[in-house]
Amino acid sequence: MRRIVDALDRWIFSAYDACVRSLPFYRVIFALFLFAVVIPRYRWIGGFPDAFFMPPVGPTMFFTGFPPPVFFHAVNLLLIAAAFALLVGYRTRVASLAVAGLLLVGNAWAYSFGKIDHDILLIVVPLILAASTWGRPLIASADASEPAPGPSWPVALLALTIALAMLSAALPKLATGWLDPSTSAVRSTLLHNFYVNERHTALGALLLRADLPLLWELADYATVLLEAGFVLAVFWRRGMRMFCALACFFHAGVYLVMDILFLQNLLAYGVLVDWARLVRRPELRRIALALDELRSRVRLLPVTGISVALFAVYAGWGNPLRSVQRMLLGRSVTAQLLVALAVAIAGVYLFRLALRTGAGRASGWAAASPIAGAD
Amino acid sequence: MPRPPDAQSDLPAAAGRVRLLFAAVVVGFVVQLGFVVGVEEPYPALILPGFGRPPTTDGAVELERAEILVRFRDGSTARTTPARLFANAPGSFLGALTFHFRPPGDRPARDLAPGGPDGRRPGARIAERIPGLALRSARRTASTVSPEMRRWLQRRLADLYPDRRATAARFVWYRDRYHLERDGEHQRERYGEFRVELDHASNR
Repeated sequence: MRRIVDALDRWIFSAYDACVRSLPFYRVIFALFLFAVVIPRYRWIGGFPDAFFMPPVGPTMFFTGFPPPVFFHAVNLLLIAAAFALLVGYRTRVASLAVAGLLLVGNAWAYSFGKIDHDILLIVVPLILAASTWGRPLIASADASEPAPGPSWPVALLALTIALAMLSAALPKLATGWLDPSTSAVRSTLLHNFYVNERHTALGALLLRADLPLLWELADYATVLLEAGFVLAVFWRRGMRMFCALACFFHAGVYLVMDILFLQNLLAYGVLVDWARLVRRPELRRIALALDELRSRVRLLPVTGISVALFAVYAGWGNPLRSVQRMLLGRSVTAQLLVALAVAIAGVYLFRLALRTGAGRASGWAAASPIAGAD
Repeated sequence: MPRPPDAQSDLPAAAGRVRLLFAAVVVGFVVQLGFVVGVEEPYPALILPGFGRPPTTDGAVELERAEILVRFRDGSTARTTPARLFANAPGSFLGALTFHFRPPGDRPARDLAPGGPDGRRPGARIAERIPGLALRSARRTASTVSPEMRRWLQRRLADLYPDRRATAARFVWYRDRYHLERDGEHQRERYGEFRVELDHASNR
């Protein structure tokens, strides 16, 4: 029994030590993601009457309709302020809890239309990492000559949460015949998305025409094995990184074929990436130094002022990044770029891992990668 | 949540609480799964989509789809899709929004809804006393749409067809059966319709 407790303690308190130095970088990436992808949110709710109100069991079940549009404007304003505070490292613990709380409140109303989008990891990440040292300065945290900048158990807890979430996706599949050779679950899901949800992708159309029964069956098995495998991989940092890297390809494939995208999952997997290596590049080190300088000077008044200004931009113009892309390209490609980035990082990591496992040495270009990280 | 220590050396002081936190997450997850299986999916919950049972029978996949036929005051008609009607909401909400326009008696309920087919599920009596859940139950069994829903539909169709005034919208429901082994060949069966009169929507 003592040995089991010791092994669990080692896993909880030290298995993810290598990820701690990268947490402040991950905080900046998480905040940028909020600004690039998430905000503004919930504004569409105001366009629908209370007649659509169908709450799930949860906090909104005690109401009989949606709050007025001004409520969702307030949520967006506070979300922008909290995300900006996270970005610049101002009162990060409060900001992290605020981001989690505001997303939770907003989502609870949005999902009261009778549909729950499963983006809970977007809330879980700041909720758990509020207890970590992700609010610390970037450069000091990345400095390998300094003592470990904080505990790693929040990363282990986040990894466990990701693994359990993936298990929650695998269990219904196991129980409803995804591994039954007489059914073709992935193909059925593709058909549903293509025809019912009207998500017409070029690759989806191509695959629907193709007669590839073995491929469809393999896809059913691979999906279940990948999702269920996380719960074993979580006890081994390298295993967890490997599963997260494989899952990046999985999500990219699902996106290309079915136009279903779990960007928040890709973001959550990012907690295991060795972002601290970025400061080895002089140009990125300069940016990190500038952010640290900003962090040391930032005060409540500027944070409030800049947040209000950002809110004005987001409220009046929508997401500016998306708006600019639509103006220049006719559509937003943020999601595609983020998927490509995740796949690139995952690919380099898996390539390096294969080389390390096979030949024992990484090739020159892969070793030079600033973010793929070694275990 | 325990206060995080600033350095590894502080860990033993908080270790007990951290272990408890890990145990609580695992136990909470198991309890939550039980609730999902026995009652319904709550929000918030640590759940990713399972996508459910593949709708495959005898080598075929059955899908339910709706088509919207709009009639205008000038006698003309137009055909549109749920995706276009609900374009202002995220695409993933399409099924939930179209739900209100399914033929009465064909609105699947698998939850605490006291009036629904699963009304005897655990907690159904409690649900009757919770305003949002009672309302949800009533909406599952309603045979007409509310005046505010009618007004919304009128406004939305006015956005889509600014030069014409809609007087009625018919949500026609089909069951499409795709044969996987026969190169995507499919048969369509019309199984229901939900009609919304809009002529006097603005006055009701």
